Amino acid sequence: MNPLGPPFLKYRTAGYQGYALQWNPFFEHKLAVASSSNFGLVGNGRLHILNVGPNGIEAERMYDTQDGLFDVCWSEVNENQLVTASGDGSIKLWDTTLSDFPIQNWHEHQREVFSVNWNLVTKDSFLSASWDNTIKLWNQNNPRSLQTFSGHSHCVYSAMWSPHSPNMFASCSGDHTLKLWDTNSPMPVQTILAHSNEVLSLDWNKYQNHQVVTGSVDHTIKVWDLRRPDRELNCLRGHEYAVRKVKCSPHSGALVASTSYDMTMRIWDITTSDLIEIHDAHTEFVLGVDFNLYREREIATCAWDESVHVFTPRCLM
Amino acid sequence: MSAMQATFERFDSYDFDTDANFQAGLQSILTKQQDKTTEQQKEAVDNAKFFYFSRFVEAFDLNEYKTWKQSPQQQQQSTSTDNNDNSAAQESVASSAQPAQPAGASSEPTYPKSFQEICELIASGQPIPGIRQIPNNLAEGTPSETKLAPRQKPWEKAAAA
Repeated sequence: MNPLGPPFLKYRTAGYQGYALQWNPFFEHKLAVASSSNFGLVGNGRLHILNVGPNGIEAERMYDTQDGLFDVCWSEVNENQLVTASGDGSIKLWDTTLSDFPIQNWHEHQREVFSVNWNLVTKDSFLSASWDNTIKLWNQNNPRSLQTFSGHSHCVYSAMWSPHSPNMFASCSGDHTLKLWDTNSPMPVQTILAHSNEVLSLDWNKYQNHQVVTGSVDHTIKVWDLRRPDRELNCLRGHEYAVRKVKCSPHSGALVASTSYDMTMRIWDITTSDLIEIHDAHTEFVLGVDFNLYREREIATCAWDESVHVFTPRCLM
Repeated sequence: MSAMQATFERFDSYDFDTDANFQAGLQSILTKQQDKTTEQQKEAVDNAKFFYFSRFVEAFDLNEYKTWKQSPQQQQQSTSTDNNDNSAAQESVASSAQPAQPAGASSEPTYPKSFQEICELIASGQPIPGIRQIPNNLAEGTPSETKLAPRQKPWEKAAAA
């Protein structure tokens, strides 16, 4: 390691394989990690609340759950609260000022919940995507879901709000499609046959209103202009196995990070289709990645090797 | 054809024989099934195939699959394939709307060893060590009040500038 370079920090989620992580939208040093024991196949889950300082990563809190945790998302209105997606179909709301248990537990999905995402514009609701083929809309103060969106014919792996429009969201599924929805309509506004295999992840470009990026089991990442659904703007090839997560940079409309079962996290320039960074320090599948919202050069990853990495990629130095 | 049907057909024609990960798990299951009847062994193998395929290739519901398998159309097809290996199943995959995905060991990532061991335990119905019972409780105490106003996102700052 370069002693003059920025620190490369590691944290062990011992006994638990990392599935997803997210930086807190209020505190730039706070990171939440969703993890599962036994690779999420069976057994407990653990939510880690981490403080990332200049000299290391410390656990502020840990919460244990009956079933594995597959995703985590911070509230956009309360700096201490966050939701998790669980293998048993439950969604839990946590308050980091309270120990041991969640403050709310919703159980409506019939199968694994694979993603949760808080509305970035209205900040008063969140979405869940499930292997029961549905997406649900929730408000943290409501004991029941507000709405259910059916239309996918296979597992829904992710549903993500538009960063620009209060009612618009996109979803991706094992049925190979990317769908666009408006909460005012029960049916999708648009369906794009996006890949030749399952689509595991999607994200919105924060700097291009109509741009969405998808990642698939077919090893590729595609960039879409939703006004031109007939074909992708570009297709990024390089990952050797399924692409598990794609994340658009909050700082630049050109940068996208991706994780894969090929054990790497990669960063791409989607304006040139160039692969500009390969992070290969993990030793098992890499699943989670997130850009720090306020420390522009910092990125965090988590993997099935039970470790979290926080570092500055060379391309951002 | 429904997406589920296509999945069922891909499952039927999946090349379990050359999938190294599956075979490794299967060997240990069969070792533990040595004193069982042929029928029980076949059931264990079928369960392992379903478990493996739905976890690592494509998820599907076993009951829906069984219903589909019992449908008159499928019964007919399975009779015709008895004399003809499984070429009928392969044909139906080739003609399905989506191209069949490359199956088999070469396109599958290598799963960690302990991952395989856990799969074997699950597929053979053995208890998984170390699972704790977490009470399904809600936290006692009053949840926190919001003290901070939402912070502007970098892209919102850029748009306002």
